[in-house]
Amino acid sequence: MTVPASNPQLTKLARTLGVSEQRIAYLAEVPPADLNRFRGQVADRIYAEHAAGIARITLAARIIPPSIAVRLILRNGSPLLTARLAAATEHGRAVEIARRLPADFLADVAAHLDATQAGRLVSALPPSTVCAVVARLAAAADWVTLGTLVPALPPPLLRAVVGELDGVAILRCAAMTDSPEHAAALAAALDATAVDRARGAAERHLLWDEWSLLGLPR
Amino acid sequence: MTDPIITLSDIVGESLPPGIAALPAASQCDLAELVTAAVATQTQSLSAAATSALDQLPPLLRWPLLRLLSAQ
Repeated sequence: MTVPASNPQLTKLARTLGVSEQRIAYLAEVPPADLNRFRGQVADRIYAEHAAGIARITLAARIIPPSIAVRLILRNGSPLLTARLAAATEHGRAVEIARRLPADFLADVAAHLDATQAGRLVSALPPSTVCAVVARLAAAADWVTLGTLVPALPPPLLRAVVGELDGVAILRCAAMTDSPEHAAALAAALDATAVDRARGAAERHLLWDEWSLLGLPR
Repeated sequence: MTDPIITLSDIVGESLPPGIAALPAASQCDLAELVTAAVATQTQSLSAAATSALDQLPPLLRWPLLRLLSAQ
């Protein structure tokens, strides 16, 4: 059984489950809204499993000064643990630590945060850092994370990061957004040159399905 | 034999979306196994990373932190 190339919800569920899309190809006929809801249920289940333990570590880790925490995080090199702790840490402290982490590592961490967590944390970082994170994710073709993160950013920051994306990235990002509202937010952040880039990419790569999600005239 | 619908919805802790609930029993069993495996994988990754982080802490911080963890 082959998996249709344009089934973003299947791509996202496969990421959440840690399997290939082919492994869950039997879900290809499930309505996208149901796949999206099920993915949320699975993510919540995984998150809940460790919530108490993460909360305990977060509470105890408050004695570690941010500068030492940054060194530990980089030496430890676990984006997953960093993301879980960041989501449970008091916002000001999480931002203070995140500001000292390199963009490459932050991009890896963003892949393990949900939209709300990622948007809240990343939008408190300097715009140049956020743009670097977005550029890193685009270079890695991590459209799942981009589609989650980018629309969760506040409009001024969203406009800035869209400038970092080429036409294909804008379209792939639109395809991976969680809702039509998020795709609309992305579309609203595109200036005329970004719209041209996206339209050009749709023409060159036949990505008109992705283009249609932006709700812009062809 | 365990009812696969109850098993999968029990695992995710909520009622399943209609498109998932309508899947054949074998598919739901497979999904239940995948969710269980995903939870186990993340448990293993987090546990290994947390243990490693504790080992990397300077002793002056490690012992107070361990005391705090055990006191909770």
